Amino acid sequence: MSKNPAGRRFRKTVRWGAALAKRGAARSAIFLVDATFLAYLFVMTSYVVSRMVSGVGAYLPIRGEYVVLGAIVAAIAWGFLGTSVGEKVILFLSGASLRKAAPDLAGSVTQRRRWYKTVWGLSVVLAAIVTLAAATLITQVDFSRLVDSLADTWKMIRRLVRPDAEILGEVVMLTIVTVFMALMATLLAIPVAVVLSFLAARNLARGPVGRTAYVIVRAAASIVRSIEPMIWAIVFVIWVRMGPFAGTLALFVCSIADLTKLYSEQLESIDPGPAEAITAVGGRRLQVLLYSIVPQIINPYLSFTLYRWDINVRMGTVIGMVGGGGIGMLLMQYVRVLAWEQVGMCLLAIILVVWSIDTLSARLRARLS
Amino acid sequence: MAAPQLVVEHVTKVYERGDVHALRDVSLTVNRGEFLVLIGLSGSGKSTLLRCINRLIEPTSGRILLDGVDVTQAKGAELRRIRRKIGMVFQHFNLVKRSSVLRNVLAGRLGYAPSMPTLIGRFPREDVERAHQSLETVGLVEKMYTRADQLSGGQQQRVGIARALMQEPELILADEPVSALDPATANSILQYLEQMNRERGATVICALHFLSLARRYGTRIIALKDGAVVFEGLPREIDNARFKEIYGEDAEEVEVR
Ligand SMILES: Nc1ncnc2c1ncn2[C@@H]1O[C@H](COP(=O)(O)OP(=O)(O)OP(=O)(O)O)[C@@H](O)[C@H]1O
Ligand SMILES: [Mg+2]
Repeated sequence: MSKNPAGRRFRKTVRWGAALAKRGAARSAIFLVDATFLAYLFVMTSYVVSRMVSGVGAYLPIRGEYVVLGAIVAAIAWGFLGTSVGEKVILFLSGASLRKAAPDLAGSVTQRRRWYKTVWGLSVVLAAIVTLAAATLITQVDFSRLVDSLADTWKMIRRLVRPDAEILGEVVMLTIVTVFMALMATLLAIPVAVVLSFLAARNLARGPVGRTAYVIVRAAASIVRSIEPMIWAIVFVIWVRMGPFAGTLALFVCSIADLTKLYSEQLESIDPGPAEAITAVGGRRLQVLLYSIVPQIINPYLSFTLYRWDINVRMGTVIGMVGGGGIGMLLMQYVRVLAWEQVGMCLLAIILVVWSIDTLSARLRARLS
Repeated sequence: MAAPQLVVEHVTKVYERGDVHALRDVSLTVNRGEFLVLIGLSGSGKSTLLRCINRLIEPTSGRILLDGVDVTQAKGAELRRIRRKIGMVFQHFNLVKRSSVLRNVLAGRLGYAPSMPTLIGRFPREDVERAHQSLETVGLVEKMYTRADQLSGGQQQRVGIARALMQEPELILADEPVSALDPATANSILQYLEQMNRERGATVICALHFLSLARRYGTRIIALKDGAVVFEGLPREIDNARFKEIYGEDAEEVEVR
């Protein structure tokens, strides 16, 4: 196979080409980091300075083209003038492999000097200071405001801690709704996630079809997971109108993505030995699954599911606030009319139910492991 | 002379990943009733050869005939019928740790039992009976309902042997069955294999690391080196020169009893 010299020469050329490409990629990455860093430093510094000098909202942005152009020129210049931030970052991130491909790059970094004697060290410190200053300005940090309306807040708190027992019936009803929303979403998500988890386990993904399914399911799960449940709730409120069904759907979608990830990671960590043994005795694929894989995953799966139900109850209260039904929706109605005694009652119910389900699920999970 | 039970003809295995030639043109024959010991350095291809015989690994080329039937061509139900008469004992036992000893042993019967009931964990009465007998043979009846991971290594390997017994195997493949065990336990495990070989007429092919054990239990020895057969003969034919040929110049023999 690897005996013919032409093949070996070809492979050598490929390896040499790969090293060259790696160098080129590293150079470009360094340039990009430098340019971005410089542009950022310039924009932030000018923002902070103009705010300091001329007050709130005083930032007149320089035209973007000039910033980009300036950054490019400065980054190129920096490439020649000693070690830049980009070199530091890229070499740190890529480590040994790049050091082998581009020893000259590494050489310039390995010589050690104290940070305050280097341009890159000083510019990183400058960037840190400017970032902190800009962050303070942007988020409008103003601690005096905490004190200003202390009296009003105190009044609200006093009303909150005197929950209105008259609405007890309604609160209990809607708390039950929230718990059942969580239950329903979890139950519906289980079969879907179980099937998907087998597609999303790296060790089970075989052949081109398996690999493609693996990539698609993995990607879909992480996209869904990166979108907050709150946003899913808004989507479903628009889709199926306000109410518990919208909330259940939002929790359902999030549960599928979350459980698929947890389940498939469990599948990836199973011991392949028993499956080998069951195959060797002449078992069918379904028997291999039931006799070697299922016993290894059943308890973790149950445990993850309980955990997810617990999260769903907590999420369910939040999701209600954007129209997803249950106790959260009631809470939001009272908040809008500043009915703090009623809000207090809702909060009390939420705290109680979340705490008890949390405890219950933790107990059960401890027994399972 | 009767036809050999197992014929391995020019079997080659190349692992695509890493471009490893694990077996190079291996040919051998095994007669019914032999206790064949495979020796060779780590990485010489012992596990690969054993797993090609029951197709846990696909050979790249070559043929393997078991009782005249080409194993390498078998598919689906036919492959399962071939597998069910080949018992396998593993270095790390390969038991389902969370399941009971009984369930692990019963699993050895999966190739025979009607498959529908086994999907809900049910086996014919005579299979349960057989499981009791197998556990009796290896002296573990009282551990029947214990979880497999609560047993010692030696006990777990005995469960592995009981599982193989369930198959009424005509051939037993043992991949370093005692490498994870202490010397005394190792001997008792190999004695069970010897018993299956002598009393039940099962042919045994067993990979071993210690030459002393190979000499004691093997009726014949085959040595692999870099995926090729470098020695084939009787245990007593392995002298010092042969030993160095198989294991390299610097090797010293360690005595295990
Ligand atoms: N799944 C695999 N993918 C790639 N290479 C493998 C794989 N399994 C084994 N190999 C390689 O094949 C060669 C033979 O391995 P094998 O496990 O058959 O050796 P062995 O004689 O059983 O060794 P040991 O005594 O350590 O168990 C080794 O070089 C090993 O690295
Ligand atoms: Mg091995």
